[in-house]
Amino acid sequence: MSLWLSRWRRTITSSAVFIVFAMLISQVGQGFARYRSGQVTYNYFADALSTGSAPFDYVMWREEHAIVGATFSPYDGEAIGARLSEGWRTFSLALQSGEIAPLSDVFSGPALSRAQAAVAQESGAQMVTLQLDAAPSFFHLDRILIQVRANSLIARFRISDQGLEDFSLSQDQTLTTLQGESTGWHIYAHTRESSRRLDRPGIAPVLMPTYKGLNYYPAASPWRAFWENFDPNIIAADMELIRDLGANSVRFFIPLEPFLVDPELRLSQLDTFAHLADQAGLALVPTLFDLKGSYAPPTWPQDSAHLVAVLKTLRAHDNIAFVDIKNEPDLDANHHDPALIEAWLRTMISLARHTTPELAYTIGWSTAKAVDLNDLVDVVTYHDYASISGTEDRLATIWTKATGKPVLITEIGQTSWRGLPLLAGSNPKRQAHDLQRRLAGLGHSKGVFVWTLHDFEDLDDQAIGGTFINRGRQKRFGLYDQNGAEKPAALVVREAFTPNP
Amino acid sequence: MTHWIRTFISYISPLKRAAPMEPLLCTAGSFKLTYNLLQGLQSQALYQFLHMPNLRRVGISLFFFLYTMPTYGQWTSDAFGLFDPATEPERQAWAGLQGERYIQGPEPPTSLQILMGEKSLIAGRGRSMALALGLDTHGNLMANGLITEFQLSSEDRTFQTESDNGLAYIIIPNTTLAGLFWASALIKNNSPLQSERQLYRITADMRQVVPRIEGSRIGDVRADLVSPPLRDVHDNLIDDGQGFLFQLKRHGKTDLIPALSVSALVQAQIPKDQLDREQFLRLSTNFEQTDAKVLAYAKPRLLSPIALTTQYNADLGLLNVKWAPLLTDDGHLVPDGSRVKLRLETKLFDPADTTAWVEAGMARASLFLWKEDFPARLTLATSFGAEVYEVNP
Repeated sequence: MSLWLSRWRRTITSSAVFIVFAMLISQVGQGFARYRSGQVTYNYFADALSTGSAPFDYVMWREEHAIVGATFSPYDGEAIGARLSEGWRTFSLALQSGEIAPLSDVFSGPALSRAQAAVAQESGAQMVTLQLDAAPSFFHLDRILIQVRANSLIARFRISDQGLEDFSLSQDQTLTTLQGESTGWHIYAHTRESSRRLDRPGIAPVLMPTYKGLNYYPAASPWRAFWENFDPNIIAADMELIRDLGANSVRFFIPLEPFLVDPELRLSQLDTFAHLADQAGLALVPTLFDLKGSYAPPTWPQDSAHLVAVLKTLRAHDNIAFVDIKNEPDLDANHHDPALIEAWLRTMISLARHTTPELAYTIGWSTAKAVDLNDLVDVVTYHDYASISGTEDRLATIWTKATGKPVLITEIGQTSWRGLPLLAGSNPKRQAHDLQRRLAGLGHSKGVFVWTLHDFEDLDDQAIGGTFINRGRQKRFGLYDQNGAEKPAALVVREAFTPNP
Repeated sequence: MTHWIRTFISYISPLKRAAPMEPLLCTAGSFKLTYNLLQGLQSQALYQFLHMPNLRRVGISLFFFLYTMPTYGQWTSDAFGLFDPATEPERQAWAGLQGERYIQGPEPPTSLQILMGEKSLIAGRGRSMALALGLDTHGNLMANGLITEFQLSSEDRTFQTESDNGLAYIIIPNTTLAGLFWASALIKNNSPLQSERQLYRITADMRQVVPRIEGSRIGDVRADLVSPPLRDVHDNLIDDGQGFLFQLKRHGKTDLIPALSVSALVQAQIPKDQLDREQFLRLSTNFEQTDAKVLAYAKPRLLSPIALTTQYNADLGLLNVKWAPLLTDDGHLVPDGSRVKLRLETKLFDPADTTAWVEAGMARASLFLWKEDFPARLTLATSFGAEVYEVNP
């Protein structure tokens, strides 16, 4: 018997070694093939395509202005606004790339010398102009020179070996002189007259109820398909379903991409969504910039415009629990400079606070270990898919780090995917069991959001990736299956979310 | 070592410029304060520093030079991002807000540019602007409140204004005098600074030019259509290159002859043989035209009779004809190359036309005619007149 056992063990061990070795060879082979073909793998299309961003005019002209000289027409506003946007976008691109040559397309005279000197410094210093609220103050009668006074939102920072340094977001009062030249308007001189820091607001403690919520996409249109196939009837029915589970809140996603095409339509859909949730008595956790591609500074003005437009829509609703500025930014650190990501987060949260100070803000870290930048947020949030046994310890650790701020876990969940016979899978009962244990471990948090309401049939490859196992697992995280029937996990959630009598 | 010296100089050099900016915040001789001064380039601290006794000042400078040397300064924000004053001392001279409180002012301007516009003014109409743009040695726009004097050669006085936001400008008054003029700007500072001259032109007001035709000179070959010197309502001669049209109307047909002004005159030419004895002439601009003027032309006539010589070859049925000399009544031969139309009429056939050309006062033709066709009628027509002959073999 013992001989038989020993042989059996040897067979198992050598089989395992063989499998591991084969996998290793396969990975090395794939890597070598990619290397030979010069192939680079990107998580998102935007990563692969972006070396900047499309021209985006972020100059807003004040209607009321006192101007000396020629009349300032809407056409002038369009031409000069586009040129200012292009100028500062080129400058931020030059600071990032160290490339001086393009500066002469948009700068001239002393401003060109200064822009070139700033780029040539190669210190890692960056400057991104996010918005210009401008008014012309002088316009030569021959339209050969114009002066523009602007309130400029500007992010400045340095990226060094130590990471992000000297970050600031400020509202600068600037005076820019542009000269009309044969190749169009050029920024000829530029002066900063005064400045107000926006990244140092005192963060008041937030008083909030305990949120019990769900992450939400409609069953048939998850991720990027959500806004494209926005259906108020389906959403209204789903909100009732969430309410029926005893939840008081919903976390949902507002990526940038769908809002670029028809922003007015999307903002009205957002308004409708908030209204439907309110009707069902649900608070909202809008989560922005999911599936974000590039963090390159030239893309920030567009991000800022999106953020401001969304926040101005949200501020009209009373049922906004808090705003998640970015879903799982730590995962982007694999492909982007973490210091640049931090600068972007600081910029967006500071801008959000400046725009809608009445709302509370958080960052949705993908794990407890990734939780960072607590000085920035009103609410500390993370996602917990790690081992169930450490759930309470992780919460306790974050609680300590949060220095009194509310701590919420905005994603927990368990798949019910059975997998292949030989692969470790799950099932609806196990899903319910694991979810129950996880929920029990997070009882002391200020809120929990379960991923997700529905199972999905059609996943978004860009969001999930194409691997068989990942796709299989992601399809079955729902509390309701593909036929709309409650899974055992729904009962667990209802029990956990419903207050004891 | 050079590196250290540069660091030291970069700290010290802007202090003088910064000195008079804000009220004093520090106590003289305080290390702590001077440290703040060097780190943040606080102008008021510098003021204190500069007013210390020399020995103490040197001591403190050395101390801080050594103290701050390893960190190489602190990063400061300005209109173009962030910079380290220690490594970029020149950048501290860029005017505007540096950091959060310190405002660097411009130095006295060292270059002055004048921008005029519109470049081409119209006498008695429109506005123009003269703008002076002054820069100091670091490329900063000049300070506000600098007295700037403009001199315009189209005016008999100068204009004074103060600079604002780095610019000084005047609106050029409406003048009725046309011509090519110059403008220049002068900043009356301790060391006066003058711009180069920039030219500008004031042109006659073409809307108020009434075109006139002086007359026409008809030469041997062509006729010259001429205007007198044209002026606008302010008595300015019109500029070269202004567009006009002569309209020549005769027998219900109008020819348009474009012309440009040269030395205030408008001229055009037409071949003389295109003229009739009487036609109507107008001169027009885009805005005005002259009244129609009759242009009479005493056109010469063919001097008749013209001798006709014929030679008939009955075998070939060929009639050779020659007219000579072809003279006009003013005694000139009809010009070579003039076209002569011939028409042959016989009893049996329809009239037949042919063409000949004048050469050395003579016209020739060969015509096919059988004996039975005689007598025939032959008509010779030129632009000066016609003659009819009856021809027999």
